[in-house]
Amino acid sequence: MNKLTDPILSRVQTKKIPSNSFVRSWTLGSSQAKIAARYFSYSVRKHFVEDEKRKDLFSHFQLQSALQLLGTMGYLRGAIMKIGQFLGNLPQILPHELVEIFESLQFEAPPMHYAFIREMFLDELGQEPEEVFATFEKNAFAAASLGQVHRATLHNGQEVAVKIQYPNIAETIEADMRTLGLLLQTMRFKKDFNYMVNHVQDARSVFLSEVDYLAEAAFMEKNRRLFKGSRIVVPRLYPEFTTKRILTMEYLPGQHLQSFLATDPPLSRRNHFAELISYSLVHSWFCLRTIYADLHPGNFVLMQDGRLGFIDFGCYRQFDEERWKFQVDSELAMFREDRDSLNYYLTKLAMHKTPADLDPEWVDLFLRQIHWVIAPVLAAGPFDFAKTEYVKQGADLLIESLVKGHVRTDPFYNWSNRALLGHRSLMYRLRCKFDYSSLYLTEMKHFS
Amino acid sequence: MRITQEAKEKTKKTILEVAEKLFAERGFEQTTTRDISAASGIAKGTLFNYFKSKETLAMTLVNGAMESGRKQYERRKTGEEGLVEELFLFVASELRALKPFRKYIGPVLESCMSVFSKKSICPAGEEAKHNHLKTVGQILANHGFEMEYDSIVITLYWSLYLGILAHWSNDDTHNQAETLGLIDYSMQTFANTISANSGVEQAVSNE
Repeated sequence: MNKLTDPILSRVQTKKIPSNSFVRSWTLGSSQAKIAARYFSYSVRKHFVEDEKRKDLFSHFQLQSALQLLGTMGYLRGAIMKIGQFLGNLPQILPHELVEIFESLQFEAPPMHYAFIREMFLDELGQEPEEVFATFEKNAFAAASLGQVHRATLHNGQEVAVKIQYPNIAETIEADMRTLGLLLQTMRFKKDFNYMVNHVQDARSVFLSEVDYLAEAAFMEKNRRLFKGSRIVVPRLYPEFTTKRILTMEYLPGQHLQSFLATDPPLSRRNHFAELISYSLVHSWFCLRTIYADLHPGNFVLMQDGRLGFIDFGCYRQFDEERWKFQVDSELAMFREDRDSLNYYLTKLAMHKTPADLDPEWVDLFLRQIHWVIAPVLAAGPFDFAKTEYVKQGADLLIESLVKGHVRTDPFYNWSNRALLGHRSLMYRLRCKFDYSSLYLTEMKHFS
Repeated sequence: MRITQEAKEKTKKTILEVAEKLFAERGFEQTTTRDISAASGIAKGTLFNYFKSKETLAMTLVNGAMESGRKQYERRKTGEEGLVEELFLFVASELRALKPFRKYIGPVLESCMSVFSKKSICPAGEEAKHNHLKTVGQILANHGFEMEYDSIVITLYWSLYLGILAHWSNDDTHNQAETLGLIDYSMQTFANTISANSGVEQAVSNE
């Protein structure tokens, strides 16, 4: 953890999670104001310093802004923190210092103290942690946006990881979404306003479904069955110690991506884990017709024996029959470069009546994005995910699409985009080069 | 006929048990002193020999629950808690014991513990407040703070505590989770204030 963030973490730890919309808007607003003030100070000062110093000044501004944002997000947690995590998935476009800080959110959110945990246990399981378990570590060993994770031992000696949700998180997310809704109201006269609202409502429903650990537990079990016998390990669930707000699962020993990369592993080992991460994503995509929308480093444990622990199943979307058919058929059209069929699918995706209604600028950008996404599949043989040109192209496309802000699409595909970006980001961080095409096409052939 | 102390205690106990049952079944507002005395098998006037009002009767129940919460806290504390954590543990243990009274604790506290109700002293309310603050004083002393019972710091604590109770009585979140956050925040605020005043930095630490 960056030492610079420590005072902020300890400060935000002292604050109650505000679930009231007004308080949350105010907190965010004041945070933005501070960042804006800092930027103003930088803009004035930059005119009076040399080039090199100017760069340092800008880095300093960015870092301070990130810290400010981190403080705010640690305080607000909930959906805002999820957005922070999402940004952490984009090392291509964010300066390195910011990515490291955002990444820390995935593991180092402000913790609840042990007396707090004991109350949660009494409310959820009717017993104190030390009554439920043979041993229970008072300090969390991992924390995320919605909860924190403690190590414990069952009375039969099995080591487990116990995920405990922050109190009142559903209300917090609701308050975030209401705030976002209020902010959106200022744009209500824009022509695509209703589509924008659809996206927010969709995000709301997905984030809210994430607060139900029983649903996550059921999906984890489904994945455990799916990956049984493979090199992907999905932890065993302990339903007797699991509720909507406490999830008890087998503890998987290993490293997270950041500590793994800190050991400077050879390419073969990086490729090995990159292939396993890709397999986990692609296999479930085709086999369960599921998107893991929260594909960030904190969801994987890189185990000493070469297996990959897949440990978080909170944020996912399931294709229905109609969407699945659309996905498979449009993917085939992409591979065939069948422009007529693609126009048909794009018309459906943008909810237009005829291809003539399509915005040519959006179509052009969308097709360029598709080409970027399928480049590793179309490559003959190993694909270099760390290739500067590929990474830069992806970052440019993302910025272009953010700037243009097309919202007239089915919000469901936000999650597949998020998963794909998360995947490419992980591959980039692993600096891997392997035959992704064979992996993808084999799975596609088997299950489509 | 002279009524023995033992008989008095027995009648008082019966009234309390009956009242608790009726409050739970019908609600505090819907239960009258007439209902309680009838169900206790005593005349309405006799009830007032024991309790001045329905509120003071309920406050006696609340006082008993607070005492039971203090015992729970004593049993649960490990000695490893920091100041904020220990205060949190104390207040949370007490609220857990008070849970059966949550729905009607508002009017009871308003009449028996409110900072504005000084005209008629409610002995049960005074006793509850005294015992609660005595425990807080002990916790503070354990962490290096010596506070007088009537100091401004204790007044600050009491205001925060009443705020917690008021919020908790209307907290509709699952298991009153929002109140847990509020207790933590309030105790942290309190610890920050007293440590800033006294210069004892370690007090705010949860370690």
